[in-house]
Amino acid sequence: MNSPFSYREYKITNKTEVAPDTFLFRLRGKLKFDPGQFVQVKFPHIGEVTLVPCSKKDEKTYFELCVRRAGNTTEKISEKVPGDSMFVRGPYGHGWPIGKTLEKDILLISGGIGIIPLMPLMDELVKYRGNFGKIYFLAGFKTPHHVMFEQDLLRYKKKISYFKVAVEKTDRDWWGENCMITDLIKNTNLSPNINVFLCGPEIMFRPCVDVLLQKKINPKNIYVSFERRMECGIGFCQHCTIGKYKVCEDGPIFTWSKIAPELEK
Amino acid sequence: MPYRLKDHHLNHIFSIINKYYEIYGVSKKSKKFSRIEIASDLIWINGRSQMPPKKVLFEDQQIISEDLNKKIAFVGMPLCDVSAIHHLIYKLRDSGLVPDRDDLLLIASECKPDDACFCEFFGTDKRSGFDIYIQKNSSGYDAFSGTAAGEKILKKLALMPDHKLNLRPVTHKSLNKLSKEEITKLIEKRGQFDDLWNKIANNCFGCGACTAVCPLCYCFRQEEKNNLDGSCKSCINWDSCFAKEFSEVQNRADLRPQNVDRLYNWYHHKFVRSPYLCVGCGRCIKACPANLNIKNILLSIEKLGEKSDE
Repeated sequence: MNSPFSYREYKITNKTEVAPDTFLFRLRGKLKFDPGQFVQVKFPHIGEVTLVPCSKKDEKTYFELCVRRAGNTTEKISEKVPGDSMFVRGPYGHGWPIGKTLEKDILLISGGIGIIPLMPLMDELVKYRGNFGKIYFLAGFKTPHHVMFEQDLLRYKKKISYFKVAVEKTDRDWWGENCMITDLIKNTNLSPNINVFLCGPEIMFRPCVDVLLQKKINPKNIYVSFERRMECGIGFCQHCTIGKYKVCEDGPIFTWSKIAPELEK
Repeated sequence: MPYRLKDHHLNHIFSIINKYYEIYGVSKKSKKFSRIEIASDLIWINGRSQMPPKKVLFEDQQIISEDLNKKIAFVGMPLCDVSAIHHLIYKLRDSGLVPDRDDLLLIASECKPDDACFCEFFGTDKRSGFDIYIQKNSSGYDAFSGTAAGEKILKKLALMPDHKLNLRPVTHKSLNKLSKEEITKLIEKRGQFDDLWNKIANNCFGCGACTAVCPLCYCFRQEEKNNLDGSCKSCINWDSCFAKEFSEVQNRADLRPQNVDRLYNWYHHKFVRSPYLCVGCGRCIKACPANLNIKNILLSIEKLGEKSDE
């Protein structure tokens, strides 16, 4: 029997600091994944973390993983340099339900590091723009220093009908807005049957969804990507449960109508 | 097929299975669940133990992705444990962390229910799932084979089958029946029974003893085991959902900050998320330092449900 805990080794070829404490690792090799899926990455002697690929889906020679220094394990990982290896298994979970949104308007909302699972999705949407309705993109960051993938965003800005990036505080010239992400949503005209893809820290879900619900958007069309500290990633260890759902197996993307009653348990 | 056995036949069975399997059961000497090397040290009938079979099946500190080519025989355990083993290997199938059913030999025995156990709640007193079942009779033992593997072993004793023998039903002190579906529905509605959950949680120390002795608690963590020679291996560590760090995410944010949340999660996992991870063995009742009794708790949940229906 093949163990589900078998890893493939990838070499780091490039490392850049894209935001304070946040590093982007480029790895040589191909990883087949759908936007929104996650991988489990093991570092011998250190531990294992859950990461989300943020490079384009159809990139053949490399893929990219982004790590923010937040705890003991990620602290050690951020010390890795090109030439070191990562051991990857996955991808796991279900990606963004792009198939359900054909011919419809799409709104992407990202908060801070939540932009990572939305980057490969964004790339797909731009590439197959003809198959979708209007595409809206709203992103929020702490300060202009925290804005990740700024060059990519500026490129997408030209191709997407409605594109806003906001920062909470700014101390320099800034090309985007200066407000909270909820204000961005409030100031956007949205049709009620739009599909919403939301990702960010969990604390921002409820305020954002409240604004969306005020705009009469169906909670069945609000897709939220959850983040949990996973151990096995394949539905055994029970660390990532929300009520009766397991984020690794049933998610990480849930519709708001499905997950909201479980969040209270 | 049923066979009539004498004492020396049990020793014969032991020597047959000892060739192929590592034998685990309750030791006469230490009264503990452990590896049995000599036939005379094994308790054949009513082998109840504080530690559940998961101690061997799903070992703590087990190294991940190491081939499991162990063949294990469990001897003398009651039927609730047989049921628990089936549940556990089913839940963790495809994980590579537990052996296949084909690599296990389950020799169950007649048991005497005590004050704590309540297998009748869930119907796990059903006499099935075993390879061989042994019960005592006036002059020796009756053995029944449940599978081809069990039959093969009994055949080696070269005895004639005795078709007049019958499996005796387990005799319970009282016969409470619970509707599983009803319990699932009631536990799901946490908000309605906040008082009850708070009351239980106020008495609970959150020590996690129940999760350690439960034959069906399998939450685990994955850890890197660093050796002195510089090598390292990933291994699993048993975890308890009563631990504070269990639901922690980044920046030390805890998603189940209070004991009541963690306690509810335990019941939710057992009866709602992946029903039913309880076989009524009663180990958690004996292990609980706060004398919490899952049997009474389930009964009172059912009673509250009846009240709220009225």
